[in-house]
Amino acid sequence: MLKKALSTLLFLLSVSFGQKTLEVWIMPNSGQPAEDFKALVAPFERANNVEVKVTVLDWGVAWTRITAAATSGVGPDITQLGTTWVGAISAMGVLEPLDDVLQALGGQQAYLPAVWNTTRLAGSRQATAMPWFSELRAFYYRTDALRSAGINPAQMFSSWQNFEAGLERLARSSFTDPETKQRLFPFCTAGKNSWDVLHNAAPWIWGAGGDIVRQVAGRWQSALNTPESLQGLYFFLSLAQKGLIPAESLEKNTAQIEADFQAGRCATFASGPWMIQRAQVPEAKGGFAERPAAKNLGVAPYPPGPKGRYTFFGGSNLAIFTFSKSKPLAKELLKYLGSLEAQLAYARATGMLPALRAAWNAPEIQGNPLMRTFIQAAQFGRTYPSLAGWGGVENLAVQHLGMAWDLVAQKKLTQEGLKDLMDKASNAINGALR
Amino acid sequence: MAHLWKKHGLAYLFVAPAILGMLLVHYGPMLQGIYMGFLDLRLETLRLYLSAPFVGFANFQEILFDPSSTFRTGFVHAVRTTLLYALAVNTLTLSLGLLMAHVLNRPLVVRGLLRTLFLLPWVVPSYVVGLLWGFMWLKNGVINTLLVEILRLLPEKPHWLIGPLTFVAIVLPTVWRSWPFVMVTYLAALQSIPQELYEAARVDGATPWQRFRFITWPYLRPVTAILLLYGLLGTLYSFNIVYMMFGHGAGYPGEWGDLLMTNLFRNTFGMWNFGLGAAASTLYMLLTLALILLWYRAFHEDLRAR
Repeated sequence: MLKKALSTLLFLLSVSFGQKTLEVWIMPNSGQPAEDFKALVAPFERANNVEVKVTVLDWGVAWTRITAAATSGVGPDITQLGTTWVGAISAMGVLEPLDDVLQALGGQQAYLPAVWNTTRLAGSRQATAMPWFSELRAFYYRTDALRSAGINPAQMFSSWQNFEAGLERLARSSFTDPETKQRLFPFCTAGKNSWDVLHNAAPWIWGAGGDIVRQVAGRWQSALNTPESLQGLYFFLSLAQKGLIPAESLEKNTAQIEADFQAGRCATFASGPWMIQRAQVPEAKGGFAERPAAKNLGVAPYPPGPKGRYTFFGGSNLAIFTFSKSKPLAKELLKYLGSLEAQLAYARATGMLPALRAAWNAPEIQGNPLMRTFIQAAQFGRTYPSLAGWGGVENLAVQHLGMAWDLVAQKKLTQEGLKDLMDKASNAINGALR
Repeated sequence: MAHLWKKHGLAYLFVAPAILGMLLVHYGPMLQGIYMGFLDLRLETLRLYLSAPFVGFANFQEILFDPSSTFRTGFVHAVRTTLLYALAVNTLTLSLGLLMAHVLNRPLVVRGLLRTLFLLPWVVPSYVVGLLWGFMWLKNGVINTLLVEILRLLPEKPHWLIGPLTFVAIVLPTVWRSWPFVMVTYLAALQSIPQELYEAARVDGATPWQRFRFITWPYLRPVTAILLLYGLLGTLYSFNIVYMMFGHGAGYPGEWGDLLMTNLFRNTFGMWNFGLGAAASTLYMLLTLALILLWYRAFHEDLRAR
């Protein structure tokens, strides 16, 4: 009782003697986003006599809230930004330059080039966002299912042809999940009803030498209808037409596909690093540690295509609004959150990869063989260009890829049909980029 | 004037807060929205908000006459699907509601219980309806299990959330949620019809169809008019069910699932074209007003107090 009264008194005194506050908006990055973030910043609060107020925004409303704050000048000191949002918000001219913060954290060489690209609007010399954590995709597979089908994982993920041959063997395999007693689908992936339609398709487009957009004579334009992009897309989509991706997964979203893999229904699927953490957490706490899928979990990078091996690289950055009244203190908080210790602590809480390259050498990451594979996959990571109009590009690409998935589900996708759709997508994207 | 104020002053005072509220939260934002349609309000000019460059009717012109406008991506499909959706939902809702009201308009012991049970879907919020039916329509969901494995009505499990069947997947949940309200309203109207009229008709030898045609229907026309108006507005502005059913707005519902409102949302907030979005909203509002005008011409006689 006395302790409580004293702490209340101390709190009131600190408020009355002008304790500073910093307001931060984050998204639900971990199981208990507000509590995990407060625990992360507690040492900073104590050291600087500052209270960090955190507001958790759902991803669905975050964009609207952040742009509303940018427009009105009323909002937090610091906000989390999805890496693909940095270009757009930077273009609004509401983000504080952060070159000094990034320099203090080690500069360009402290980050992978893919991560460094997300610190600013494409073509700008001024950094406006600090990399916070990284998300990239790799393949998860069931070691027991592949072993039973006589597949060597290294061989299967060594080329597109071997990947397809491996999926065919899995389709023929009589292996059943020990718990469900059901045969496994070779490869599960979400179709069009998901937020990451483009992220799922991008590695295949890049692997064939294609691109979503590219610069021609100094102007950005769509590359979705180039022969290389079409080749990569057709390879990916035709896996579903051939029955190697189950028809039922095409109408699911990514969360449902993850649940299917955890429940022992899929032999392979692509996802982010958080699955490794969940495989170690019991079901009662949101993981799937008890399931055969967790006990037989393997990780492999995307198979290389004819023009190289690529994976989607995303994640989140932190930025300071120009209207913040505590910019120096906000910069100190960013330096703290970008430091090695804080990067590792938040990676532990979220299951994401730290953005700082030095953090990848930490024993807790290098000591986990699955995480080590993820680190290897990271070198094949590629990001979308940080364009002001990226939202429109992605929106139009997703819409036309959705139409392609519609054709796949009806088994009507042809190379000509895909070209026609991507021509339409490119016209629309070029219009948006103008 | 003073006389009027003396007579009705208190009444004006009582309605003043409501009028003030309407002005603040309804007409103010609406006028602002209409004005935004005349501005070049994009991501780059968003900070200027209402001071963004004034472009006259350029946004309206682009939407109506520029076939290369990115704002028109999927627009034609959305118009077609919305009109068919409004037709299908309102026809099914009114028919089913009327039929069930007739079934319940007789001295059943469990009438109260049935009415309560039938009303339950109506109290489920539309976004929850979209979310739940999204699960039920999955290829291995409960609907296909029922149709294919239990009732054996179909040879194989179809895709409801991809391709043309998407249309069925958005119509049925809307009908499921809407018909109970129609049923209750019709039931109240049916119970207000004087029974002597039916008795006299029976004495005169009227058939059941003639009793419906010449007694029931004239009494139901005003109610039908109101229900149709609500139904039209609800379906033309329908958003939640489609938004929640197809990737919570992240994906694309497809040409048979995309409605005018989901199309408008995607092309405005996904493309960051707020000026064009506001202009399109104004055009939709005018289109809806035109439809209401047609509705009024068809039903204005029924709406007069008798």
